[in-house]
Amino acid sequence: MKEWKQAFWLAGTEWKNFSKHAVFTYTLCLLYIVIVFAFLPIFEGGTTIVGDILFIVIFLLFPAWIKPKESHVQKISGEIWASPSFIMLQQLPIRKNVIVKSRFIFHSFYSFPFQLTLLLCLYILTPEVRNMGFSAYLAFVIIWLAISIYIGFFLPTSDGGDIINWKTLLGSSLFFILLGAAILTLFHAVLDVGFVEWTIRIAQEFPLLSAIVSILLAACGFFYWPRSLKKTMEKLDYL
Amino acid sequence: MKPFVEITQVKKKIDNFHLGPINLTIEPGTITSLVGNNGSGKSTLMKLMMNLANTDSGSINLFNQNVSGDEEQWKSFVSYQSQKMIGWDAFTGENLKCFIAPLYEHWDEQLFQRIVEHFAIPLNQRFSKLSQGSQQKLTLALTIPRNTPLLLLDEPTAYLDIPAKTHLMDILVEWMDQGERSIIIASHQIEDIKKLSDYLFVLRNGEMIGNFEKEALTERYKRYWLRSELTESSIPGEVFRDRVQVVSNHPKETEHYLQEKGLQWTNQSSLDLEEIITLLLSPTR
Repeated sequence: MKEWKQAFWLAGTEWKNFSKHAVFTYTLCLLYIVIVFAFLPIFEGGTTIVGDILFIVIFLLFPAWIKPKESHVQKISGEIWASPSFIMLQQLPIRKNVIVKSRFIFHSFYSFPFQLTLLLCLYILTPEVRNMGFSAYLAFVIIWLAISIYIGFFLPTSDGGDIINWKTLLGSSLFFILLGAAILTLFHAVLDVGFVEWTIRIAQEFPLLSAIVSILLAACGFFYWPRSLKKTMEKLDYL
Repeated sequence: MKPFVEITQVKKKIDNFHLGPINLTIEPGTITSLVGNNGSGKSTLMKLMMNLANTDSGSINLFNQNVSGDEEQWKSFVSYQSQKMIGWDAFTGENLKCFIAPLYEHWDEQLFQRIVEHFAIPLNQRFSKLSQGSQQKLTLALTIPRNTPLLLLDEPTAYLDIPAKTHLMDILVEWMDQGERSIIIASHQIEDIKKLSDYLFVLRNGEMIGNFEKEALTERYKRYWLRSELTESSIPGEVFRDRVQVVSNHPKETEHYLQEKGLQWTNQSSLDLEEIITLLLSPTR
C-alpha cells in the first residue's frame, strides 16, 4: 500500500508539471475524435479494415502521443532507447517496484480519461453503439478498457527501454504491422465482420461473459506488464 | 565504522572496452577523486555503483547492501549527480525541488536556498532553457542538500565559471565537516583534485592503476637532474627519463642506485600532482 501511495505521488507530481500540455493535447485529440466520428462513416454497415485501424490507433496510441515528450521513449546514448523520465526516477531513492507502478499510473492518467471520453463520444455520435442497450454498452466499455490494459500497457512497459538499432527497429515495426494486419484481415475474412464491430456484437450477445473474460485478461495484463518492465530495468545497462 | 563502499573484483565489458577488475573501498570521512583519461570508465563505475548497469562479475556493496540485490535501502544513503541529467529538461528548478526534496529525509532547505542565491540560479525557468553552467549549478543545488552520507559527483565543475568553482569547493569542504560523510568525485579538473581529495583512484582505459593517498603519492615521486646524460638502460624506480632528467616513484631505491654507481645529481624536486597523474595515465608507464 505504501508503494502504491508513493507511486501515485510520483506520477501525480510528474503529471502536474505537464498539466498545461496535457489539457492542450487532450482538447486537440478530442476535436480530432469528434471530426473522425462525426464526418467519417467508419461504423456504417460494420467496420471496415480502415475503420478498425483508425479506431485502434486512436484508442491505443493517442494516449501515448498526448503524453509529454519527456516520457516518450527516445535515444539516451549509443543504442539505448528509454523514457528520460524513467531514467530520472532510477537515479533517485525510489524502490524499483514504486518506479514501475508510477509509470503505469502516469500512463493511466492519460489513457483512461481519454479512452472513456472516446467511448462516450462513440455512444453519442454513432447510432450502432447507441442502439446497443445499456448493459451491452457497459460490456463494450469494459471490453475496450480491458484492451487498454492487456495490450495498451505495453506502452508504459516500453518506458524501460531497449537496445535499438535500425535493424531491430525495422524488424519489430514490420512484425507488429504485419501481426496487426493479419489479425484484422482474419476477422474480416473468416468472421466477415470488423474487429470493432465484433466487440459490439459480443457485448450485445454475451455481455456478462465478455465482461468477465475481459476483466480476467485485464488482470493478466495488470500483473504481466509491470513484471516485464521490472525485468527490463534489471537486465538493461543504462550507460 | 564500516566502509560506505566496498567494490570487489568488479568487471564490466562494453563492446571492446573492458573495465576492471576494480577493487575499491571508501571509508567514511574521505574524499576520493576518480581520475582517468577520457573513456577510462569513471562514469561507468559510478553508474555501476548506482546499479544503473549490471556488473559482469564481482560485487558492489553500498552501506553493507549489495546494490544489485533485493534490498534497496542503500539508495537513501546516496546522492548521485550524473554528467548529464536525463529527464530534467521539462521541469523548472522549483518543480524539480518539489519532486526531489521530499524523497530525502535530511534535505537541507537552507543550504539549497543558499546555493541558489549564491549561484543566482533562476528557479522559474525550464531546465532545458538554462545555459550549461546554470544547469550544472542547479544540479549541484539539488544534489548536495540531499545530505546523504555518500555523494557521487560526476564531473561537477566541467561547465562552472571560476568563482562558482571556488564557491563549490568551499561548500563541499563545509558539507564534509558536518558529519560522517564521503564524496566520490570524477573530475579532470586538477584544482578540484588538489583541493578536495584525500585519495586518488586512478583508471587508465578501464584498467585500475591504484587507489593512492594524495599526500603519499606526491611524496613518492621525485625528479633528479643528473650531471651527465644517462647511459644505464634502467634505473630502479624510474618511470620517466629525458636526457639528464630521471623521474622515480621509488626515490630511496633510485638514490641508492645512483650513489652506488657514482652518478651525481645536481638537483632534485617533487612533482606536481598534475605531472604525477600524467605519468600514471601515460600508456608507456
